[in-house]
Amino acid sequence: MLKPSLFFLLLVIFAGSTLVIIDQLFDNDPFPLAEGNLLVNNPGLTGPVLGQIKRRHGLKNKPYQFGIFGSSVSMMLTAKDLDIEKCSFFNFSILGESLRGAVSLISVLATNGKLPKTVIVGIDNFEVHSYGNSRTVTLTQRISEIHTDIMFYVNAPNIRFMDMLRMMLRHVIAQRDTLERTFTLDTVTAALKLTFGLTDQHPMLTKTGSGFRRDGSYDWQISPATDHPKILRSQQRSVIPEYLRKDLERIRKISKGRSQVFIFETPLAPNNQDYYLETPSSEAIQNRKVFTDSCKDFNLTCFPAPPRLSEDKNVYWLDAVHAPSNLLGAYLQRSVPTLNQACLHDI
Amino acid sequence: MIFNQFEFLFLFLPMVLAAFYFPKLQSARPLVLVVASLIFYAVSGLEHAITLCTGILWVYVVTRSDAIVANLWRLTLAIVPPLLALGYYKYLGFFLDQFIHVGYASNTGEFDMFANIILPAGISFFTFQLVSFAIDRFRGEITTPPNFVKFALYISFFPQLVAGPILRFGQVQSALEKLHTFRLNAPIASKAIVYISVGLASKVLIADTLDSYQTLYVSAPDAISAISATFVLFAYSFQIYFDFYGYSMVAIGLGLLFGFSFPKNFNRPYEALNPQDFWRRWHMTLSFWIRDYLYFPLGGNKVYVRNIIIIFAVCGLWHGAGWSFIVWGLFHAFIVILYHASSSQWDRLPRLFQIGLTFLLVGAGWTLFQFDFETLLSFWSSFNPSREATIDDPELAMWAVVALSALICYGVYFERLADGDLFGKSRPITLTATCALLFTAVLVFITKSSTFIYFRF
Repeated sequence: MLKPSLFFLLLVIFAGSTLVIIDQLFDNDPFPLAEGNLLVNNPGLTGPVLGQIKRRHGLKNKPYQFGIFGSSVSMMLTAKDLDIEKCSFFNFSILGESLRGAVSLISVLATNGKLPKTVIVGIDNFEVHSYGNSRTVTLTQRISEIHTDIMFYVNAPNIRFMDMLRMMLRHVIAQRDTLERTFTLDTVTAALKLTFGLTDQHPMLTKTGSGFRRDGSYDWQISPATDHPKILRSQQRSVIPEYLRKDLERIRKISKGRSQVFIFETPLAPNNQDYYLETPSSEAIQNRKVFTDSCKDFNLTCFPAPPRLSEDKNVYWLDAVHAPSNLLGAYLQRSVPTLNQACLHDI
Repeated sequence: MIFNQFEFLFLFLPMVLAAFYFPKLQSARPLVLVVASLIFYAVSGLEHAITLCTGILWVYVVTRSDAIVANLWRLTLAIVPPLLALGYYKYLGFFLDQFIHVGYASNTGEFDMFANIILPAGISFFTFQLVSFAIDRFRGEITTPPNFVKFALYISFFPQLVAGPILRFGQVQSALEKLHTFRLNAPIASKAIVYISVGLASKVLIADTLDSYQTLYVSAPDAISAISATFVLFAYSFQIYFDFYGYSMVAIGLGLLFGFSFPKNFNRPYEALNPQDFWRRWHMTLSFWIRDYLYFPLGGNKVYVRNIIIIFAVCGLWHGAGWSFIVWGLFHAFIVILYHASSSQWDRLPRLFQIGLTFLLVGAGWTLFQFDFETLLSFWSSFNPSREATIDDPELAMWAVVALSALICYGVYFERLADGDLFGKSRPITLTATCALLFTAVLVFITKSSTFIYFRF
């Protein structure tokens, strides 16, 4: 007869050992290996795995002078796009991460004294923002963030109980997503290859091919679009305004006295931007107001999405949200003219 | 929601177990399980949950009174609406398309209202349970009907709701009555864990691996060789077995955790000596349902050939609305009748030969599950030596996995493993470690896992 208590104990041991093996994958930093060549994006390289790798990279290395945080929209930005090639730069953006994910990562880096001196945070446009929780935090950090969110509800008189519950549900979903995308056959196989020395390079990010660059940015080859991207459907009621304000306050607290922070709402493709300029959703209007008001209150430099990123109609977008990196970089340079002096002296 | 998902294993199941064993909810256990089952089902679509609830309510109301006993009109009243619902969801599109010659997804927009009918998961299973309950009441076999919550639980209990085993009320009546006093002890928990671990491993590690190996060949049956076709034949035979067997094992294991002892659904079907024997071992709860509620009322062995053809046609249709399912059923009718006619010679064949022949016949039948008629022809013509194949034959490793599946299928007695007999009663640690290892492997492979084949029936 099987012994149930022993079964659960062994299950924890086996699953824990598997996680320890997978951990090798995160500890192996592939970015410095990209000597001019680009790194291949392996199908097994999911958002949570990439997030862990970038997180460890940030913790292992000296603090960068310049760091970008955000989702896939800002993941393509390079130092060249921002005209800061003289600065040490790393793009910490992770595909699929929302503002909350960026805040979590910024918090971890700051706690360990690794927060870049200048931080740019890209918040996905409020019409399409998916306000999920980070999928790259450890379980301990998740518990701490859940505690923070609950305490925020307890102490804030204006937040609704249902909104707090929604946030808790999002933590559960994010944790499930983290587990599901990290604890996989691909990661175990790759980690085993590393553990047993069957490969001399990162199994998920190899030295050749196209994909991630040495600076963490992603070389997304944008193929010319034949049509304008479709008009996106607005993500109704994704952002919880009270938590948005709280997150911005967290950024302020974390970065105060350490780093200069610029936060920009990512623009949409011209036709989408035009459409939502004329018919913005009520949620986006409200969230944008919370965004600008909070930034003002917390003394953060923030930029709501511009009416139209570029007048050049011959520049093709990958889709409705992903701007070509040079276009996005130029926009940021225009917004913060002193950006290229960031690593010469503090702005 | 399905069993091979993180949400089910780490969220839904622990929460339901916690609620079920919460001391203050002890007297409300049936209700806890009904609510949990409806949540489990409603996750796939609210409309489907409403269909299920309506069926439960209807059959309960009509069969509650003892007036149903021997009253054919009342029985008809009880079973026709659930059967109509089954017909609407499962067969209407096929019927319109084939017999009235109206493409229900036609470009003209006609009959658009039928174009978006999505089959509620498990409708064939719970409809058969509703019907069996009504018939048992009609026959007077259920003398005291249960209260509504217990009846709802009998029909909707989540471990067996979507793909069986198809239960008779009598099989769970005692468990339903003792539900509020049930206590999970170590032997039952032990057995449940083995069933769940082995069931998940059968599905996630074996069936899904075999499935991934066949994808290339199944998608281009006109470009494969006879060797590849043979591979598909064997691989799918073991895949469908481990897929459905795995589901049934998990269902039985989950049932045990809540005090239910479900009947076996499989009894080593690929060791069947002939087609008739196969149906006594494969999907046993369906076979016995058809035998008791259709075959015997039709006259049983008195009109053997006619009745066999009828019940297998129904069996085919039960699996799906399509000619390939009907032909599959008739094919089985044919081989069962063939065996019946030649049993004196067949039974004299060497035992191994009988098992092999039955396996090949059944395996050939499964191709009707995999392909439509057009691609089926392409598949079988791959055995024509003059046809050129453009897709490479399976690698040795793929054959090795099929061979390993066969070895497990014929060589390992999982039920004995659950009882602790396989490793001997003195080796509980080996059994425990094996199950923990299997479960860990399942978790690693689970993201690659697909839904169960029998969910679409």
